[in-house]
Amino acid sequence: MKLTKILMCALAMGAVTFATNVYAVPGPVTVSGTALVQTNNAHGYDAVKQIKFNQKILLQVLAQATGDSSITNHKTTVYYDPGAENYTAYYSNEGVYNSGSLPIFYGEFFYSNSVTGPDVVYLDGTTGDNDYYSYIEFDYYNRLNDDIEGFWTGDTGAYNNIIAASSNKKTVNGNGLLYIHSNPSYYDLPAGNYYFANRWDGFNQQYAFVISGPLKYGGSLSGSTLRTTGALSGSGDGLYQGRPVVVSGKSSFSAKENND
Amino acid sequence: MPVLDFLFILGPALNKIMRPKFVFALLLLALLALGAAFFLKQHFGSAATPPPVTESVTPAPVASVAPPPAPISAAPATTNAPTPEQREAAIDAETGRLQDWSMNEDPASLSNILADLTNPEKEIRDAAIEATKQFGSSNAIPTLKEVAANTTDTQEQIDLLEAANFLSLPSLVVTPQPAQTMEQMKAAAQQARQAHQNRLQKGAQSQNPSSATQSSPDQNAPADPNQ
Repeated sequence: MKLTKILMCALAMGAVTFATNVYAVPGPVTVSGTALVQTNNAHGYDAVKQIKFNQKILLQVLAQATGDSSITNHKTTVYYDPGAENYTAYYSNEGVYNSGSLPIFYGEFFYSNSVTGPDVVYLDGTTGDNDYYSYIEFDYYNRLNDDIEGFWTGDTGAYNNIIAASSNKKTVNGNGLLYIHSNPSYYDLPAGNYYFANRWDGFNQQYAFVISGPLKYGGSLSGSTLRTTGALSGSGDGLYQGRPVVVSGKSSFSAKENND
Repeated sequence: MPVLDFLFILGPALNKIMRPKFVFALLLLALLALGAAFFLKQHFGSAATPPPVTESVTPAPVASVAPPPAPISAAPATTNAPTPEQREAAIDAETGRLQDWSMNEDPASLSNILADLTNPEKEIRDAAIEATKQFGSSNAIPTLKEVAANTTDTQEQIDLLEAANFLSLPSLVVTPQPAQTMEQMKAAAQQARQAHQNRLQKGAQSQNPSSATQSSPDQNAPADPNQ
């Protein structure tokens, strides 16, 4: 009798496992935009020069910042997984786990190419002393899942979201902030650290790009596939070769989740 | 859960009707059948959605030969119209190819991207506009302007012309910098944070950077990499 029950239980569990094969597939994140650079004209007056940047430039910045030349020597894709819990930050010295201030938050960036092979390389981590570092962060309040993405905080980040929904689609209109930077120690922009991306008060780094503004993201269900997409546009401070610039740009990301 | 409930109710009833050995054999057979089905599903059922890592590992840009865009909606209407899932999958596949082409440098890839500017699917056209920006060649400007002149969608016209303008700009140049170790960058960050904290404590922080203390560097001066 007891054996029969155990077997039935095993059978039922197998059936449940078989029915719910769920896995998320993070998609690539892309960036493009322009930067206004201060310059001088032929008469010595202040002048403005506009230059462009795109994903290829972003990869060059990341290659230089991380010291990994494979990022530019091989076709590299940068991924953003908004649904990944960032335990790296949580267990770092700065994380709440070690009495730091960083709570558990969502969102992880990583890249892969033919050199990394089946592995991925995360664009954040901890040093040998367990100090947290990061090269890119996406900070917003994810109303779709009620998740804190990146270093979003209610004190300094936009919270409001306006939602449009149908039977198989939901679109959230809010605000977000993308911050790419060459000095990995200058992370967590929303915590009153906006000067990381300019030259206020002695802070400086070679490259920084802030895109802060409207963020439209959402999910659509088609068959058993849930597609998540996001599009950010906006402007912010930046640094180009250590010099201040005003950035204006866009970023987009996507992810898929199959419920077979 | 209903499966569990059902089996627990069914179990005692079966025991009363049939001999335990027979029940055991029956359940064992069912378990084996389920296992076989699970094995087949794992190996053949999910081949269409590989993990991202395998998708991203592609040959070097120069060596790649770009295949032409897939005729998703350009094909003549057939008796079997694609299901919404098929259409979504086709759009996904083409936007994926566009992202791939956009990271190349060869004329064939640019040609494929430009061909998708007039794709009947709006999602693909939008992705193609972004792909021209990512490809970064000013050779795309005439086509972008031409397509803009022939489209009736105002927003799309704006996006096309904005992309053309984007491509006409000089590109940001990432210059080689003296390599800094993680420790050096961390030290620079700590130094700056400390200076900032000192300023806050002294109450000397000003809203105007120009009135900051001498620790504030010139706005336009190049950064000291050793700082």
